Order: sequence, then structure tokens, then C-alpha cells
Amino acid sequence: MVNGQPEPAPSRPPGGSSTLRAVLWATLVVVIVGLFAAFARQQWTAAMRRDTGSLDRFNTVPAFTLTERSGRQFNSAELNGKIWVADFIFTTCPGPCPQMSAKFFELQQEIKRSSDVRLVTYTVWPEYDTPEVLRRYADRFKALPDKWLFLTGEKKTIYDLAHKAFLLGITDKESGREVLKEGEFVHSTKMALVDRRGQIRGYYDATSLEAVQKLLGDIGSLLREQPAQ
Amino acid sequence: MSASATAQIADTRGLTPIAPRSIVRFGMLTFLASEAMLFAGLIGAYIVLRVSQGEAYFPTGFVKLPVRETFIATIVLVASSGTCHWADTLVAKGKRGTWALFLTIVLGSLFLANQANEWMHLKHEGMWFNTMGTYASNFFVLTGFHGLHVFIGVLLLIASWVLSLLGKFDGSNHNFLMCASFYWHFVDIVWILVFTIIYLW
Repeated sequence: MVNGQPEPAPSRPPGGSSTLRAVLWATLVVVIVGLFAAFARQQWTAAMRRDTGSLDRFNTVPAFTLTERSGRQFNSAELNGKIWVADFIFTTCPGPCPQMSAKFFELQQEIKRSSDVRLVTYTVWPEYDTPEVLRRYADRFKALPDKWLFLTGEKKTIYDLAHKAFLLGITDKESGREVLKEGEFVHSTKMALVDRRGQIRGYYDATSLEAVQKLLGDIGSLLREQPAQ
Repeated sequence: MSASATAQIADTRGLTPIAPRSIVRFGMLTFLASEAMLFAGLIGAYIVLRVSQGEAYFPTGFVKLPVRETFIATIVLVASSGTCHWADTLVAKGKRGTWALFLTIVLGSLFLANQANEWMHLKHEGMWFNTMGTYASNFFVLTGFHGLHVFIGVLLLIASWVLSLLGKFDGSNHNFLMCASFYWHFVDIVWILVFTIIYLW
């Protein structure tokens, strides 16, 4: 406009060549603008992730079928797409189990309004901890039936989950030899955080004072990292 | 058309007859198409693995790629394509275009320097061809092949620069520069794809 240049330059060869040229230049502009936009988006997401502190990645929990305290069959597919926290206890446990379940109760108070978060307690003594026994234990901790699940069932299923997926130790009479009596277990006091895809993303010691705070923070990170579908 | 082609063949410099521009262009584009296959395979492998494994494709302890630095290097490479095109245009108008070529060589070398620096950084962080699974080896093989192409491209540009300094090009005959320029644009386009897929996705 300033130069008053006519649009098709007179020196250009005739035919479709100048159209092709225009298309190529337009493509170049689009690509460069797109590149800047994609870069800006990537930087933004990275900043968000830094902000929330990205979580580690551990094993993925395989599919399993157990029995819930209500007595119904429980398929792990129900946890697909949910963020959940798992722990392993037994109801007659004199030591840290009540403490672990107390932590879960604290968590439940915080997450009960979220439809995306669940708490899952496995028993390490399924022979004794029938759904009925678990139900009484759950009531002691005011566990909400749809938020906090208690699972019993085949011992091998539970022990395989603990040992192979969660990498948490359980020792009983059979594996602990004469040290342990019937109904005595040595088990981990760790709680595990599992993401929407079933991948374990963190471990928290239930005996630690800051466990619940840290878990809540990391559940928040996961909710931001994997927003609801 | 055929008259001008014959005229080009008849026009010789020293002992070497000059091939018609259209034939040289066709040969070069065919070669670049085969090059594109190579990169399609490598980029395809990355996409397939990434899609099938999702976020799990990035190994535990995943090292963050220096996206910002590489983005700047990408802009440098795109700019070098611009200066290369500028050189080509100048030579077609009968000028030498040595400064434009020199600038292209400098920008291309800057890209390579950044890549060398990035590789050393990643190696220092524990990410290398044989560590951190298929992600890392895919990354290094893909960017490595591309880096090798940039290196060859810089050599071709240096050769073009020398030829231009020696006055070997003129408006109607600069096939060597045309091929080097095609090659350079090709390497640039491949990089935009690689950068978008590996760094921004």
C-alpha cells in the first residue's frame, strides 16, 4: 500500500505458479504461528505440572475380583477411572491397623463430596474377616458404603496384589514360621495412592503425622493431571 | 521448453555438461521422497509406541527435555531456511548471494551446537541410547538421524558458498545450490514435525 506495489508482481511467470507460491507462503505462516501456539501451550502445561509437583509412577494394579463387606461380588473394573487409596489391615489387629483406619476416616471426611475418589481397605486375614466381620469393623469407623470399600475373598488374590502389585509386605504364620501364631500378621502400614488408570503413584506411611495432608495434596495433583472425563 | 533444455545442455563450463534444471529437480525430489520414508519410519515408531503406552511411555525418573532451548533452535532453523531461500533468489537474479549463504551456514551450525549441548546435558542426566527404555533410544535415533542430515546440509551449504565465491553460479545455472536448498528446506520441515511430536506432545 505504501509502495503502491501491484499485487501480482509483473516478473512472475504466468500460470498457476503465483497461486502455488501464495499457498506455500500461507502454509509457512500457518506452520510458524502453529508452532508458537503449540510451544506456548506446552510451556503452560509444564508450568502447571511443576506447580502441582508431578508424581512418581509405580506398578499398575491388575484386575481382580473380591467380595465387598456388603457381601456383593466386587470387580476391580468399578475402580477404573477413579482415584483411590489402598491399605492392608485385619480387624483383630491390636497395633497400627486402627491407626491406619483412623487416617482413612480423616481422608473420608475430606473426599466424601468428590465422586472421583475412593478408599479401599483389603484384609490380610480373609479366613476370619468375613463380610460380616468387616461390616462391623467398618461401622466402628463410620465408613460410608459408597466411598470406603472393604474387601475380602481368596487369600491368594489379596496376597498377590500386596506382594506383586503394591510391593507391600505381609507375613503370616505360614510364611513367618514359628514366630507368628494363628491370627498374627506382620504387614506394611503404608497407604498407596492409585490413579485413574490403575497406576500406583505414591506411598504414605500411616504412622506419619503428615500422611493425610500429603495424600490430600497428591490427590489434588492427580485430579488436575487427570481431569474427569 | 525443449529448446531451452537443449540450450542448457549445450552450455558447458569447463568439461562438465550441465544437466537441465527440470531433470535435476526431479532427481532431487525423488531422492528427498526416499529420505522422507526413512523419517516416516522413525517418527511412526515414536507415535505408535507413545499411543499404545500412553503416559507410561515416559520412563520413571523421566528426564525433562529442554523444550525452551530447542524451541529457539527451531526458530533458528526456520530462519535459516529463509536465508537459504534468499540466497537462492539472489543467485537466480544473477547475484552471488554469498552473505545470505554464509548466514544460513551460521544459523545451521547454531542449531547443531544446541543439539550437541542438549545431548551432553541428557547424557549427564542419565538418559542415553541404551538407558530408559525405548523412549530414550527412539529419541536419540530420531534426533540423531536428523542431526546427521543437518550436518550434511551444512556441508552442502559450505560447498555452495565456496562455489559461489568462486563465481561458479549464474542466473541460469545454479543446480548445485538448488539441490542444497531443497535438501535444507526438507531437513527443516522434518525438524518441525520431530519437534512438534517429541517436544510439544
